[in-house]
Amino acid sequence: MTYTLIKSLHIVVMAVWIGGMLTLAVAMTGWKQAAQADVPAHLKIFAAVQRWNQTVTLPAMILTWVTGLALTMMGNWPPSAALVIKFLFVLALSALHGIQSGSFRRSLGQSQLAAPAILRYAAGFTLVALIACVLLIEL
Amino acid sequence: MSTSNQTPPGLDSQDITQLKRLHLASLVEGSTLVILVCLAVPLKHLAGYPQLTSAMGPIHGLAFLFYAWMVINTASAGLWRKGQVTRLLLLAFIPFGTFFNIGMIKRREAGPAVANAPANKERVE
Repeated sequence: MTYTLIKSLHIVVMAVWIGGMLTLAVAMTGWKQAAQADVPAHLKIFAAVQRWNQTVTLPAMILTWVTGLALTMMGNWPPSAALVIKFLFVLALSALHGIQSGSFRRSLGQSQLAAPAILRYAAGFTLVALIACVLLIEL
Repeated sequence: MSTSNQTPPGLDSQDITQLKRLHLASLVEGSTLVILVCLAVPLKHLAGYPQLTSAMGPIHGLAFLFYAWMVINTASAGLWRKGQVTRLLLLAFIPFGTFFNIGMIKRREAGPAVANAPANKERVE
């Protein structure tokens, strides 16, 4: 019962985390494509995205770590290559989220987009990593 | 984003909050590593008591993950130079290591002592 509950919570918080990362990726792409004169009008929306990231996406990421670790320990899963690869994808997603959050906060502080080139692929990588993590459960 | 009068020049209130979180994450990461390496592992191998290792391993893993995330986050926000990021990350692998980062984080919280930090060069005051 507890295991099923934690598993359900893991799926919910992971969906919220991935959703938050995709929102950040879309907001940064939109900011990049917006004309310079239009940016001040959109800053309130970007600030709302930032608040959502701090209050919802970040806790969801931490809960994904905690519930994922709890499931691994409770399920007595044997160490496997699939589990290691999944862990590496989670590490990469977490690092990407750290870069997204920091860059977005800095951009809002300057009222000017300051994002490293790697974030151009953020949405694509997030989706690939999500699919990989889901498929790796079956292996 | 407004810069309040209480915050040092070059930093806004969110920067200060993130640096305080990094400060806390350093203490937690350092403490859990010390307990794991200096207490739990000797208890497991010398006294045949593996329970503490089983408990502290995952706790330290989570603490390390959060610390690394905070370092990446604050670095992406332009608060650290590359060399400082390397130092922050490398010391996390050494017992008592992150305690040596506390001074650097406090100085960064206090003001723009890190002269070449990107935040100080590029921020619009």
